[in-house]
Amino acid sequence: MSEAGRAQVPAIEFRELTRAFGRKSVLRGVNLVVPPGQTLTILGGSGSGKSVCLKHAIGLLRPDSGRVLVEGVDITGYTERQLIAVRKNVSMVFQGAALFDSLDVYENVAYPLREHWRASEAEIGDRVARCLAAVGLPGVERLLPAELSGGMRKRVGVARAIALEPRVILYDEPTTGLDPANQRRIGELIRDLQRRLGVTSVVVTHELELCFAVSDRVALLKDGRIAAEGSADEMRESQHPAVRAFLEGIQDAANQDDPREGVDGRFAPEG
Amino acid sequence: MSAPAILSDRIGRLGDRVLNVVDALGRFSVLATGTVRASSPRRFPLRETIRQFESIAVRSTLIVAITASFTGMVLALQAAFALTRFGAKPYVGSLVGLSLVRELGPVLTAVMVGGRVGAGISAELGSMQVTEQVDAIRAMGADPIQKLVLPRVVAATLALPLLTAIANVLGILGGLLIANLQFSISPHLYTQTIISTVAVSDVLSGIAKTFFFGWTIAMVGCFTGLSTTGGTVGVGRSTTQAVVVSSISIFVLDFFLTKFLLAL
Repeated sequence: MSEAGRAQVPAIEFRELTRAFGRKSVLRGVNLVVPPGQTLTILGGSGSGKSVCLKHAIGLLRPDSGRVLVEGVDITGYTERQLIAVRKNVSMVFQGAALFDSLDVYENVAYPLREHWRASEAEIGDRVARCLAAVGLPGVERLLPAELSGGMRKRVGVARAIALEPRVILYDEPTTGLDPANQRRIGELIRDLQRRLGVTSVVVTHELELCFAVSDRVALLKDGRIAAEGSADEMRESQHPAVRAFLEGIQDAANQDDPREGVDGRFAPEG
Repeated sequence: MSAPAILSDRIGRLGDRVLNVVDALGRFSVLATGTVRASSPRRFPLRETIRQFESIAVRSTLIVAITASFTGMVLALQAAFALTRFGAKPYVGSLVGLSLVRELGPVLTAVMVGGRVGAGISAELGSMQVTEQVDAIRAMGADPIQKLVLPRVVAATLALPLLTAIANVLGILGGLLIANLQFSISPHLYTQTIISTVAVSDVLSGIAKTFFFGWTIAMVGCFTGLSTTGGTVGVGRSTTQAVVVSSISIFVLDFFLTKFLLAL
């Protein structure tokens, strides 16, 4: 597709996406359009299916029904082999960074390059160094993931995701488990990459600060559907009850399906 | 609950278990055929296979050596004890040699390696699965079967025969030690009886089985690892499962392979 053609087609589009795990239906008809070159955040409570949703965009999960379109191409029925082409252009930053423990930082960032790039070791080294510089971590090439702090691991994860210069980056809970300074830094990084590389970003999070720091558009996922969607400003001012409830931190019991949170009232105070 | 209700509940649960087993067998077959399909020589992960071979073969040598030499020693004790009754004590070497190369060398090596390597593979791949590293491989457009499963399966399939050969030699030497020290059978007589009884075909039929054992150990380890769900608890469960399933498979497989090889 030409550059001009791509400018109009949604980077990612979900049509009536449904997905169940066993008897638990997680997505119940998600419709969402991610405009190219923008940052869209999917907000939702724990266990609301945001990460599940995100993984459909790159074929890591397959829908029970509905369609997934990436840059206008329907990838729903793609085989793993066909998905390779998609995955060169759409990369993902995993929640726990998912760095390979047995490889050092250099080899982690070089991994997608070695897979898809016919280049000399010097070129690979150069690209790795640039990616690490872009996330503010120059000179950590020879460290192992176990030697990095949580924030550094996430940033190396981002460096690995931008190594092939993708057009779309998916972030799965990029700030979860980080201290405020690192959270802010990741937010700035997402913004910075979007501005400098012109990438489309899809961020999945439950953290409002990050959401409004990086997003052009915001969608709220609730009960397996997109309950509300709009620009960041529209959503902030929205009077939609589900949006207000989420923004004000009132989550109804139905949204808390993490058993540790005591849905059956086991941990609820007596009286 | 009424009696019929309990009964139907039990039957229902039994049905679930059967379905689970069938489901697992199906997924195992898919992984196994996927592994064959991923093994095109053009993109064969040679370096990783060598690394895995090192970790499987070299680091299992010690446990295999200890197991085999003590097995040889105990076999010599038992053989002498039994053969003395027939006045056939000089044939200790024959009995030790034949039992080792045909049966105990291959099976004990496989069980030991199954415990060590099968559990190791399962734990490593299981941890990678629950920390999304397997998904990360896919997300970067690479194939986890080619990257993770293929090198381990090839390495284990080639390592087991080698380890078994080592086990055979050390077991026979262990037997020699006991035969000589405790039963005053000269090393010369001991080796002569082995050479006259144990044929090349005995050795080969033992070694032939170990290719299948090695394949099974690695495939089961990879399968349980990649099927891991439920965080660190799941990793523990998969590891246990890998050891149990691979040990049982080795004994069952051994019976059928032996039957098949004897019929040749």
